[in-house]
Amino acid sequence: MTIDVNVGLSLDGLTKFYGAQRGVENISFDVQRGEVVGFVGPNGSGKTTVMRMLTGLLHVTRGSAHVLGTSVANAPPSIRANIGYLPGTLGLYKNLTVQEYLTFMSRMRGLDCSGRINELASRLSLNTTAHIGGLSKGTKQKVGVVQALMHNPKVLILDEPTSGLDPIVQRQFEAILLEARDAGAAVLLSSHLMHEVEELASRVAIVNQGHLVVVDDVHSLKSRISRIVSFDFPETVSTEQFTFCPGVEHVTRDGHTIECHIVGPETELLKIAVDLGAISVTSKEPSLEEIFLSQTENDDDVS
Amino acid sequence: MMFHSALFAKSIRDHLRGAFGWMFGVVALVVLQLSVYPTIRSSSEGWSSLIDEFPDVIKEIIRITDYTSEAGYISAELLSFIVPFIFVSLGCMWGARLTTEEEELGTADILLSLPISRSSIVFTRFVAATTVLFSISLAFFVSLTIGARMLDMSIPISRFIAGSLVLMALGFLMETIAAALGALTGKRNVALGVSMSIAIALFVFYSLAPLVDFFDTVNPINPFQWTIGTMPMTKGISISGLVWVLLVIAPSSAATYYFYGKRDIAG
Repeated sequence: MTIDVNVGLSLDGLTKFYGAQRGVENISFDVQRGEVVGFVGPNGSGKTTVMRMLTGLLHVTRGSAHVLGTSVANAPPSIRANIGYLPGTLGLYKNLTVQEYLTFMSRMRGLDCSGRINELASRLSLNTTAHIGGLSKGTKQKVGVVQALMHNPKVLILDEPTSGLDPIVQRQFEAILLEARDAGAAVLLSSHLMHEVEELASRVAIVNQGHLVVVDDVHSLKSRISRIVSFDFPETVSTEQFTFCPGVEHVTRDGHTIECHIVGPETELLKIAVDLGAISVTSKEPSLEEIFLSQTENDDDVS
Repeated sequence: MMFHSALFAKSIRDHLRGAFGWMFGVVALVVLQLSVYPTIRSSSEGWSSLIDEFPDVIKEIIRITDYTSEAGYISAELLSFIVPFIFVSLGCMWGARLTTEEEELGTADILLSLPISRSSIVFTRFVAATTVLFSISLAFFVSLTIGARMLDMSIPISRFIAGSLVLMALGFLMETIAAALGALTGKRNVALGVSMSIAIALFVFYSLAPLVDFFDTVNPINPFQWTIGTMPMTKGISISGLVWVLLVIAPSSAATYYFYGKRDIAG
């Protein structure tokens, strides 16, 4: 199997079992260089397990994971020089100052990242002279973000990166992340903040109960689930023609307004509405949160 | 497997406060015991007759043969129980910490995602913990040598080196066993508890060997016999004893690297 080194992350049938207990099973998707993929799922769905396998903290039971074309199973540790990782549960050395911690991490990488550390600390309003033991959760998170980004990695694996950050710093983080993406980084971003994922990610991978439910671009996902299109007419019209339109799941009428719940293309529906003399049309796009809920609920029904 | 100076410096720093405390404790014990010796020496006949009256069983258990001699006194007071057990305890504590601390504090996730092999991390932390252990045995050696010279003792310096070496060897051996247990389980309390239990059991076997045939039979494979049992203050260094220690350290270290490399790090 030939792996393209321009693919930041490549997961193929990635599976983790803890003894007989399943962590995740058969997870397959790629993250291209210059792309942000949102990784979402309910608590305990296996997102962190996948990320920890990618960083070598957990051993792969079955399947494979490649970072920049190199398998994480047989890779020399040097492959991790290209990875920036922010764990979901952040543990820092409490007896060090922020500066000492970040300098230690730079030295462990064999690099001098002082310039980038200062830049990131300034943008995130992080006081580097403070003692880590006395920092708030949000400030510790900033330290975690800086250590993940300070060496300009080609691959970023971020587990709930904005957890605890205030909205202003969140905005700044998002800007930094998009700059990293534009510079060619492949970003796997796990978050419970759907608006954040929607804003940053071009594609989304949804996991539930250890399985990959779907991986697709956000627009395509939106077209897959039921959304509401409503039409205003000058007078009352029958719902019958709309009911038989392909993709329409449900039709309601309220006075001169017809509301259709539709999955898939709207072309035929719009044609019917225009033929009936519709004077206005309103289409409500589903949010990523609605997509997530719809996909995970469907998956729960199946399982 | 590589040595990482940044990790070494941080590990030494982490040990520093505890190391100074233990160093002070060991030196204080040496000073205390040596300060009593002039009294023992001046009343050696009384002490000799008192010890002669001890039952043979007790004399064998505490391995007192020539309590009033310089080397015999130092062996009995500094190389029979308390100081060796300080080194055993430090070895167990630092060994258990070596392979479990980062995981239990939640700092392992970032450390092990760096471009450094797990074996390099374990190796560097082994070097750091052993350096600290060595510095404490060095403090023991220096304080003992200076104290003995101040008391005009005629024990050759090589015996003090031998005494310090066996303490170091005992501590290092228990460090590798505790580290291997930590690497296997990931739990500091388990690694510390099991390694200390092993040490206590071995010490009981060693102490009661003169009395119980079975313990005596297995005594040649007891690390306490390879170290303090070779009577370093009276007989000097035992190369075969140290070789036996190394023969246990080698597989324990190998087991540490193997288990730590295979571990799924708890999140």
